[in-house]
Amino acid sequence: MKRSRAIIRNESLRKYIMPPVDMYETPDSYILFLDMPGVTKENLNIKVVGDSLVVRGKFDLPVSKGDEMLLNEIAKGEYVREFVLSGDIDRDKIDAKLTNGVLVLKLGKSEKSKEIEIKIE
Amino acid sequence: MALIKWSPVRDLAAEIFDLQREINRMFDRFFRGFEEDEEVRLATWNPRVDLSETDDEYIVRAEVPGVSKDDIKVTIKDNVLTISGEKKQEKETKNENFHRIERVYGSFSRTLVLPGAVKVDKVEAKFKDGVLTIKLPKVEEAKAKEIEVKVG
Repeated sequence: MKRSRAIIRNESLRKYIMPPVDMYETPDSYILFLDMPGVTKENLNIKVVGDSLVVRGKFDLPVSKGDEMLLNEIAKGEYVREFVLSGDIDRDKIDAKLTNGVLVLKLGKSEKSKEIEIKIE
Repeated sequence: MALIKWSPVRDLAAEIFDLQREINRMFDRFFRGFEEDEEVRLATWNPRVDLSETDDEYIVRAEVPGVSKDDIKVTIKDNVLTISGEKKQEKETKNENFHRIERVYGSFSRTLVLPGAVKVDKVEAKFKDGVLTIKLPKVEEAKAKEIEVKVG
């Protein structure tokens, strides 16, 4: 018991951060917003692996060695979040945009799963 | 409707951290409800902040993702630093079906008492990738001076 507590206190294990996400659905796409402050375009990695969409983003806050941290609330490490893609998403229609630390993912729905209104004759 | 399932790609220890953080957040939200009325609770949030110190300056970093530069206000008065502003919900989503809302919106404010006096006219604030960095140079008196001890 004592040992496992020691592991948890180890700062270096505080590696992964789960970014909060908002998810919306429009008739032809799903839109995801992920808060990932501190991540630059270069450090962001978005991959589709099998059925899942994996978002990873590293960020470094430049803290010099001599600096003394008086307040340390910002979690440091790597953002990781994995989503399982449902069948109605067209893998070729995934757009990503990063602005002000927010990643916006647009997942387009495939043609055949779009909602169609049927007219009554 | 199970479009998205969160599946963890992390080791156990990191997962425990996340859980701990989530639980903390849950308790924070829960108890905040008793202190303030509903409107206030929904309307304000506090960004997370780092404060570090070098020989010459204090550096404050605040996480404010999704806030535009023009919506952030930084003020210093009597050595108290206040960061405030508003995080607006993305326009294109207002009337749409949502599946999940985990992010926070609305006005935010954070107040820090600086540990020492700073040169108010030399303060620099920069905003990049959702992180606000404020550099506050110390006034001469506040700098730590090393005094040599002479052996008489």
